[in-house]
Amino acid sequence: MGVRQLIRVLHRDFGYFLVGLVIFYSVSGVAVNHIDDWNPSYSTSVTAVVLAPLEGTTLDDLEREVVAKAGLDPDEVAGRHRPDPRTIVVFLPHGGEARVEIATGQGTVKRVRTRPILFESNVLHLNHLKGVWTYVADAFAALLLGLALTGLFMLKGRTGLAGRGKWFVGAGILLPLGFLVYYYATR
Amino acid sequence: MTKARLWLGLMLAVAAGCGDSSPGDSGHASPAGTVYGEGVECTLAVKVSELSDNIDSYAGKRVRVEGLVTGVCAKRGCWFEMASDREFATPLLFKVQDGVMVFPMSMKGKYAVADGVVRKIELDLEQTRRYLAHRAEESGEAFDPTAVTKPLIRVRLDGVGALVRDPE
Repeated sequence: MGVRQLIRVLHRDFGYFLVGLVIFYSVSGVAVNHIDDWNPSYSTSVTAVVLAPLEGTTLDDLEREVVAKAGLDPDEVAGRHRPDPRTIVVFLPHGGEARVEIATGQGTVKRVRTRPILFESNVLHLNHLKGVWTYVADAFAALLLGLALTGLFMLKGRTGLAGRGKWFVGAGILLPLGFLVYYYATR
Repeated sequence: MTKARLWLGLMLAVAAGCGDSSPGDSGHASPAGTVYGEGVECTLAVKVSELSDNIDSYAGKRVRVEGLVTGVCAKRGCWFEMASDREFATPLLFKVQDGVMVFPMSMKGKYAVADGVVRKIELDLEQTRRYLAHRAEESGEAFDPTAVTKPLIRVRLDGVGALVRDPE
């Protein structure tokens, strides 16, 4: 097997192997890139509620009242809290909560859900798992580098690196460099 | 076919790496609860109210505090708040750098034992409004800046580790 043929084999098989990881990382990459505009891991819905004024005098009574009057499932209650004398908060699954003003019964029910696929992609991409996944992510980066380098030398001639390839490679290098120059020149 | 299997095996071996599994900073289960970061090793146990009342005495010291988790950073999971042992008092903020530990939103309502270094953060009125506006935006709640009339002094624990479990 010649060198160029070996490079093609490596590039092809690296490519096959990395498809799954690239999909997870790129989906998460776009999602996290816009974190200032939205929450890429959780979706939240807030509903205003007007209950009858709460009459309970103990925390247990107040919690029971909120659950009953707001139509919540008692089994999904994850705790309760009084942040101030006027308010009771009943915690719901995944970080949701019912927050009610005791005297008026007015409040909100916030439901929180993890975003399917995105939540899991972010866990992998942002390496929340740590441990062994750190090394998997390192290997992924190394294989991506291998994919890029083998891609340079797959073809020869007019469509190879010495031909039109050099312009694309140059453009790909100039893009980040140009942004860096612009960034430091305008600071 | 055999060559393909050999390749795949090689790639998987590379990908799997050979490092041991350090404590998962997004939490790993233990008999006592879910452990974050380095866990809880500090022996100087302090109540949240004691810390808040004597912030100057504790600033810079590493302490251990306990309390109900009442809030979690919704976007990055980089902080959580613990209720004070004193009714209606300002909660204590436990903060880590982004990604060092990642706290899930489902932690709200659980009980945390937290280990960290105390910091006193004095905000002016404008900083207080920006801070509260940011908090409200993150949690999807309405915010009226004119309702804020006093600057906040925040007591913060720079997080070393935490143990989180169901409340008793």
